[in-house]
Amino acid sequence: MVDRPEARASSAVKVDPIANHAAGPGDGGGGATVAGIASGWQLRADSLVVRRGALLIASLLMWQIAAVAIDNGAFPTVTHFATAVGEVVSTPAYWVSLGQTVAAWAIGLCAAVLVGVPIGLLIGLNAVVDHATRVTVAALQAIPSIVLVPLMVLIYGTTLQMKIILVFIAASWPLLMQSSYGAREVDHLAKETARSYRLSRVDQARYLYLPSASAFVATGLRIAATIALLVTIGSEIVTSAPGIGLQIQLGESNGQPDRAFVYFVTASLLGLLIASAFRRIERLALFWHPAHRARQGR
Amino acid sequence: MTRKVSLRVVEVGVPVGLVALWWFLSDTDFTSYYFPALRDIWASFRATWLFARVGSDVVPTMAGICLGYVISVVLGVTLGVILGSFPRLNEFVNPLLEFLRALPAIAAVPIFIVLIGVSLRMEVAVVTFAALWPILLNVSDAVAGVDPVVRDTSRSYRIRSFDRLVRVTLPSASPQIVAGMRVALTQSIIIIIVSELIVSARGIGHYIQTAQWNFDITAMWSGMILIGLIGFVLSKLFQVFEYKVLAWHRGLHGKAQR
Repeated sequence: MVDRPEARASSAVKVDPIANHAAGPGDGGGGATVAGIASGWQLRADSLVVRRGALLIASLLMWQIAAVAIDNGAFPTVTHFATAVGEVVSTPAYWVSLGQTVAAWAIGLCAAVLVGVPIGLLIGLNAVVDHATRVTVAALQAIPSIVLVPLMVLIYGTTLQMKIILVFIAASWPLLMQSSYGAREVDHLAKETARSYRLSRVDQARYLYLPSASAFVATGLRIAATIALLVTIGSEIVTSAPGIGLQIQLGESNGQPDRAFVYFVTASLLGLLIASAFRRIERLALFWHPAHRARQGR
Repeated sequence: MTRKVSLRVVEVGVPVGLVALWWFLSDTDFTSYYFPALRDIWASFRATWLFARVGSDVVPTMAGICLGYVISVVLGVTLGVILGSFPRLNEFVNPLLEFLRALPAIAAVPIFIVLIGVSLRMEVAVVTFAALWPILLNVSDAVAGVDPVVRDTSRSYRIRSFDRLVRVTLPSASPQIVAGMRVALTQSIIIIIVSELIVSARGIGHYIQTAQWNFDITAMWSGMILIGLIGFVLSKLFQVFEYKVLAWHRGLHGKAQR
């Protein structure tokens, strides 16, 4: 309700998941009603399905008009796209490509979590180590990892391994940074309360550090997951390593934009799926936060 | 005080030490074909980027980033303010915008290449396509979320709508606008590099790609380091900008409490 800084922020600088959360998902100007609108229309307009459906139809219509207007063989019409969906999705090649992309994304991200989170937490717990690594980590994470693609493809070839290593490198930084913030930014008052209640170290970790850091880690995870997909598909497009990215590239350069679009839309849906899934995880990780409890109470 | 100073020294000392370590280790036995000596990379860097190819490669890359980014900011803020002022419209198109923002913009690069052809225009278009959505969504969200008390107060004081926009709405939305602009900046750099790596006649990405085809690993590294430096400098510049723009916000909510 107050200010909503940092919402939808990502990468490069610390993202405060609590401020982020306080913004709340998509409640901007929610149920504002405009007086004077006939109540029948009101009823229909408020039904989510109708509104989403109308938006979908409007978008497709705009797409169709744009495609007909441009008409240069790079941008298929909705009708061509729809027939291509049927053709492409029924082939095993489609699912193989999808699998190759998702596998690189998932394995690279998991590796980044296993390495980045523990290191980040340890860095955040120790003030000296924290300061010693701060500038270095910030500098390294400011480097766009995609620039490593030409080097990695020389070393590993157009393989799954190449993609995994790239994803691992790119996804590690946000996880490491957010985890170190999480460990560092534990509330002072809570920390001292825990200490004066003589909670054991294990209990402190269990009831104070982990819940408090988990929100930051979850935010790091969301950012890392998005970057990981970007790097996976980017490396496929640049190096022609097998996957969705390669299929988009092939479709466009072979004059089959309708096929390319099937893969492009697949990549987009994948992006949407990942974004919303990790946003949900982020919200779950904030279960303890007062804003969240208040929300549930409503 | 002394502790603070010494921590600061450590902060800066570690990266300097790491580079020095890289320099001396790579000077001795630790080089390999893919990881040439830093001394050689530096020699290549000086020969190429100071300043022989600045006009032919660095300028086009930077022009693509800057043009695309500025267009995205202007378009994003304008459209975002409009959308944010009409809550119903905003709510209606929000899922589409969320979709456009969530999609990996890199996947659109091959489409833009065929659509527009290899040119600065294509690069600017694709950067805009990637950078516009995070800004637009943040702006519309922030404008819609301006504190109702503030909004109603300024309205009942009959502050003209232009003044209200410039002095109330935009400042109160600025933390979120800046957050969107930060995401957009990283996106812009990545997109321009990828589109140059795929197909291009000039630019730093093109230089790296050509060096790779010629197995000129040292030249490739010099290009990679240049892009790393550009990424680093741009994010530092953005930090300064953010610090200036959000000074009032920090004073109100940030450090003062701690």
